[in-house]
Amino acid sequence: MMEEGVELGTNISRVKTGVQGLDNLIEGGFPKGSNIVVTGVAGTGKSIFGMGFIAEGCRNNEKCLYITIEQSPDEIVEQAMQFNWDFNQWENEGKLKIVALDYRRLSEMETYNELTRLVEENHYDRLVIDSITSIVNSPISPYTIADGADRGLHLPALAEMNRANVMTLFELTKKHGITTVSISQKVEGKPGDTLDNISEFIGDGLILLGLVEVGDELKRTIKVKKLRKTKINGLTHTFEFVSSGIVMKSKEV
Amino acid sequence: MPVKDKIVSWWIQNVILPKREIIDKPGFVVTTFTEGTKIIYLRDFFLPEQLFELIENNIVRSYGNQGKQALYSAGKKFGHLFASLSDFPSIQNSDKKTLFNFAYLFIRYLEGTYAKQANHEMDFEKKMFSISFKDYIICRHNGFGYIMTDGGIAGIWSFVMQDKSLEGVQLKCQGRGDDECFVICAPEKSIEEKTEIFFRETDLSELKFDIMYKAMNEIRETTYAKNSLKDLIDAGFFYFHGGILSYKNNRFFHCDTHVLFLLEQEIAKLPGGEQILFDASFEYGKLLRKTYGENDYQKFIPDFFSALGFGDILVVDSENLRIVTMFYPWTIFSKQTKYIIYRGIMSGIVSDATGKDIKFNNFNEDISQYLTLTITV
Repeated sequence: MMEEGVELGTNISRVKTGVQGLDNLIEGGFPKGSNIVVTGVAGTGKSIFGMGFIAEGCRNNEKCLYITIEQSPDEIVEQAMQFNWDFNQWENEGKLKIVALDYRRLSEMETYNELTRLVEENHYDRLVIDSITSIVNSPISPYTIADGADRGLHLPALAEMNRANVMTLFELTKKHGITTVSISQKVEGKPGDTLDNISEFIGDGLILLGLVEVGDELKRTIKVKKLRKTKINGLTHTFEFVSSGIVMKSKEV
Repeated sequence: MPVKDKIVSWWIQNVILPKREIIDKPGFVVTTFTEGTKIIYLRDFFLPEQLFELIENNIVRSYGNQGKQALYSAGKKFGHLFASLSDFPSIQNSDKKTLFNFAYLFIRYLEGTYAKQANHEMDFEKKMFSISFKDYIICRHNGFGYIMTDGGIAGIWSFVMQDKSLEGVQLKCQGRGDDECFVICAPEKSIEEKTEIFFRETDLSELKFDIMYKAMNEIRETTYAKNSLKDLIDAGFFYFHGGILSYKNNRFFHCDTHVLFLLEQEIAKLPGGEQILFDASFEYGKLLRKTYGENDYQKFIPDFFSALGFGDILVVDSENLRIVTMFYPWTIFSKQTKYIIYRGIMSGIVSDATGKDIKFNNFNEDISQYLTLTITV
């Protein structure tokens, strides 16, 4: 399987994913500067995937940014520590910055202006956005409603601004060549790979994480569904969490 | 991986499973193909080899040649009916090249989940079809294979040649110590030259896909079933290698759903046959429960059997224990069936899991929109 309109990526700079075994399946890693959407239902390990991606960068002395919306920075640090990823230490060393965005202010332009300033001043190599779904589904703040009214925009148009903000974020990361993992949620039984129905189309890559249970036996799955500039095999693989993060299991079908 | 295995792997992954076969819908396994302008959907099961071994062993042990005849009849009737329902080409409507091509593809299909390796020869003048297998399902273990090997293949060949008198016999069998299984289907006289012992069945019928079948078996969204067979293969619960699809080292094969109805019909003709069939299925249910370990049977049954094509299953463990299966495959034989095999398997699982003797002896069908089967103690 080959993404359309690309040459095989021998000269493309690659960024290691932080998932043991995944780089071998995607020609060495994500194309540098690409935006990879990671999706799955609750409990499939999307945030851990993002944290592992950041940890890989910090270990390689890259500059990383973690944007969290659903969890506090302390919760992120605590969860990362389960895999011996010392986010506190990396923050102290200047390799990592964790930014918590206020869910209630995600519709405001000022939020994105602040982010733009942060990105422009810091030259990040890696970014995780946790999650795109929160941005798309965030409430329209009173400030945005008032601001919109001044410009003749009403609620339906303002609601669409959340989607436009996702595009703004993706453009920002592209412009600055930041390799980004954007986390997106999926709801069981609902069609589409993501709940937001946008990130799967505008991302350079799409990774599906899954959970399959038979009785009380549980297995985790991962599939690279799309990755521009990269040859992918399109198969679903299994993975597990170990003390050092995510490890893919060998597949023989 | 040897080249042959690679081809078979490619076949099952790219043709059998995702394209022609719908295996990504929880509760359903469906073969699709076009007949003229119509798209036809046939409900299938993935069935455990172990269940058929137990059924054949118990029937042959209890009834001897009479039992063998019943198994052969079930197999041949199934093969013939399956060929007609699947719109296989026949000598009446196809030239020899079409039939040769069809046979080649059919043998590759058998290499999908039935055998590790298969080779065949056809002789239209002598009405003879022979096939050799390595590791063919069922008979590789018990040396019988009356349902799937002798009968099933004879039924299909009878349809292709449009001659119900053609019979099949297994002259060599891995389960009996030979290096491979070898089956020949031919007119009785030709078979008599090779062996005196073989069975006959000419009461064969054909069946065509109709609007009732389509309406009853339409793919629907499930409420309780979360897993499709594809999910279980992708997640590594099921493993495929070299023509063998297995779950915890127990092999499964792909089969049209009519097989369970026809098998029940034939075995029911034997005195006490229904009980033997129930007991064999019960025994299989117990073995399966032991294989999957200490899991919660209320969750295991829907998670597992829905993926095999049995429908949307709910185990209601209240005072009145019952298993409700929506979208259970419907066939024209449904009104005559007692669902003995399904009831037996479920009884075995629940009995082994609970340590109590639980038999789902009763059943109720609702066919108002689709078949909902409720089995109760």
